[in-house]
Amino acid sequence: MIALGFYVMWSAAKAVNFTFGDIFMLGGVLTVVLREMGLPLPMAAAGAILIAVLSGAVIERVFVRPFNRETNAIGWMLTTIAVGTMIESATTATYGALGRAMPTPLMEAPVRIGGAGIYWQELLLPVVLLAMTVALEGFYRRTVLGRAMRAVAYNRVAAGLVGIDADRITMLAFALAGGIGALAGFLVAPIVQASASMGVVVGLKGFLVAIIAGISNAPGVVITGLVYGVLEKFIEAYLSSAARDAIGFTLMIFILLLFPQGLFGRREVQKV
Amino acid sequence: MKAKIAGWLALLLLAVLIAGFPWLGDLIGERFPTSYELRLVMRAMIFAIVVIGLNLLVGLAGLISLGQAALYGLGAHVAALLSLRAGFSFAESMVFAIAIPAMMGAVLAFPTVRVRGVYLAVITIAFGLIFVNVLREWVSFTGGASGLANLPRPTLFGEQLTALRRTNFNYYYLILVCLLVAVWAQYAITYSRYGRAMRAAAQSENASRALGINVVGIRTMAFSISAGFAGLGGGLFANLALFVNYETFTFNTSVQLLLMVILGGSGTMAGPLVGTTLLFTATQFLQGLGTWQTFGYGLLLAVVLFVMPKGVVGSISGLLTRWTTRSRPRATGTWPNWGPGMEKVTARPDEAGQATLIAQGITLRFGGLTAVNGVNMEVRSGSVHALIGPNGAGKSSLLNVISGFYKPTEGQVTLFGARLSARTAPYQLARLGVARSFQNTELFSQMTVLENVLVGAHSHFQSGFAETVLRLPRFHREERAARAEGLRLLDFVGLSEFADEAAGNLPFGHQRRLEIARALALRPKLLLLDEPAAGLTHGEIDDLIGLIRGLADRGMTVILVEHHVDMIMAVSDRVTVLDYGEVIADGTVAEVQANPKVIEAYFGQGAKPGAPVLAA
Repeated sequence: MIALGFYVMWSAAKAVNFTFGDIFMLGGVLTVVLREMGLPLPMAAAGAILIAVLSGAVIERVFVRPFNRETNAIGWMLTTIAVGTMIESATTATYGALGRAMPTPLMEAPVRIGGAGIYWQELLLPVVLLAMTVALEGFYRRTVLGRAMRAVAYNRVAAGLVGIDADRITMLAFALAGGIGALAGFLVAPIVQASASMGVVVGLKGFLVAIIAGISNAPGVVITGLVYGVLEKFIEAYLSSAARDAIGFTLMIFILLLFPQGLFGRREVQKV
Repeated sequence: MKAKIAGWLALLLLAVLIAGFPWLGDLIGERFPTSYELRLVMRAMIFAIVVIGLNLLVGLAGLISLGQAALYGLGAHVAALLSLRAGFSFAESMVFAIAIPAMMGAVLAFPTVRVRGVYLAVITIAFGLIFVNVLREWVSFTGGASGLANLPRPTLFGEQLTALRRTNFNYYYLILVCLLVAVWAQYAITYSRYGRAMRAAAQSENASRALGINVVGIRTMAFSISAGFAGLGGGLFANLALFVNYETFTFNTSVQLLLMVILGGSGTMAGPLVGTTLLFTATQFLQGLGTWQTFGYGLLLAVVLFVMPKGVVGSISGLLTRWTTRSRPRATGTWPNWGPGMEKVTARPDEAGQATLIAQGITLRFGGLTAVNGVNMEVRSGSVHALIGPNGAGKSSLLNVISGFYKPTEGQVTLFGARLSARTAPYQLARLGVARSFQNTELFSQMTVLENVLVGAHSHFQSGFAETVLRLPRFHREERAARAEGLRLLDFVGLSEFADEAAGNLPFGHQRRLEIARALALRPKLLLLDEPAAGLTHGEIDDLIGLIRGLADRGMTVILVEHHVDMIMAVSDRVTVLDYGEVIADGTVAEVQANPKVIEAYFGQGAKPGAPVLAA
């Protein structure tokens, strides 16, 4: 039941980027492709993550930075949507529209816990998720680079004035997010089958979860994500699996109306 | 003026071309426009209607919708279901096909109260996905993947509407008429107080609220109008295709619609028509690409954003204005310039001598920080009341409480003799007669100087939305009057020669003047000025003193937050001194100057009382 909680992992990365779902997809798909090319699993996964990190950085440099100058956020939002569409359709065209299974040793035999069957892979996810959250928190709070990232997120200009190269930090954040996204994609792929279309809805869900949780609160994002994952499973089990996304999205929109700052976010004081 | 005429001529030409298109075959002696080509043009026109609606939302209100295809689909399904299941006539079902998406748009706009930008875009994407999901899974109602087929042929006034080249293609002309109506509505909305308010709300939300614009209301309106256009397009589509299913209205269609807006040039009049034509034609070629088609859209969107972010029309008109306008020297007039007509702005004889504002026990806390602590203050009508104090004393916070931007944690504000409830929004206060300027000027920088002032006059218009779109006489009368008064106010602050310049291009001092003119367009009873002298030269400050004094002498009440001591001495009738959020002195200029607490706050302990602290 808890199995779907992993959807969230990458939303802890806090990057607002519409290509994210597609990078997540790339993580899964590339691993499959690299494996089919004969690489062993760990190598394939590492390769996929590396490519995702690079593409995260490239997307930031080429498609986000030129449009990030204006206060109006329309430009980069559209370019990332454009890139996302391109990645997805290119993958569909080259890799095929159908999903392919990715065999891993952890999927071979289910464990039985109180009657419900769970694969090791599904258990692995929450563990990796928790580890990532702790690691990220530590990174943001303890390291110079992490603090710099928070500073840039808070105020670019001021961060620039104290000697932080805001552009590079942003690029790094995108790269990091790309890596986390691909890792999640790689971990999820064995369960849902790697396919070109696996990214879109998940990307959107992740973003909504992040907003609802209050985008600046990593543990909050993880908790909300887990709760949402469980909730989805319940909807699937007791109502219908067809209505899952519709109900889930509607619910999220309503929550956002009631808690505009997010469930865990702090209210920002507006300066007039 | 010339450009406007050229624009209408171009539109007329386009209308004639489209109207004549079906007859082209007779002219060149071939069976060229077959029913298939006619249908293509009709679908392009339908798209154009939807895109016009989206352009109002994106170009004017600055809100991005990525769920527009769902609203379009909603209109189509409403029309299809009503005529198929409930036996509604064409006209009846079309009314609902417009009304229901418009209502849905209003509901969707509700989040704009709280979220904007990216969040809103995500919510609209989510709406689009929910819509498609419901259509696909609710098979008994919508037919699922097989959709709703065999819709009855529409009839209007007993006439069957068909789209066949050989026999009868009156539906073609019906769509053309709808398109022309949509173009007209776009024009009428853009060049009216509604269009100005939408643009104002997009450029500076705070300033719009301070000028009496209900930002939530105007955004809801923009969303609702654009959804109505989408619904109209959807209804027309359903009756053309006589078949609907969810595949037509997916996220890709939303991206395509948005691409049409951006490609044409968002916020321009001709943009939607140009964008739709270009992209629709391109689509016919891209269709051969199969799975790479979507890739093509993505690529095109990225390329357009890189090469010409203002779109085709925006880029061309930008170039044209650069070629045609020579920079000419513009003379800045003297100010204040009390010309005839200014008495309309200031006259309030009925209120002389009363208390305009009574603040009782105002406390404002941010978390653990108390910005304003138990402030009592009374401002007499027709006086200039200065609020001074060291940095961080809570002056601006108090001003924000008075203008409704902050809700006081405790305390009661009484304005013009009426107690304000805690829920009074800034725009409501503005309509009561409270105008303000901002510490960092908040102009609508992409609008012209005159338009900025006209936004200030927004709440004086009586003509409603229908009157505006239909351009009834009252609209013209009011618009003319507002323009005349706007020009008078610009003359008052010496900016009349800059009327058609973009406000963002003005030098800083002129921006301050414009902000005052804009606030005066509200015809306020109470004017709040937040550090109006900051950044001005000595000469300009002298002029400003004359202006403030003149306004007060003519009956307007002014509350002034300022650091500039000379100025406070020269204009104030009464001074309230704040320190650490509390009132430490209150009285006439002379009384405050002699107050030891004030001296201590400014110079620290040990300074000699009676020293010329605040002297000029």
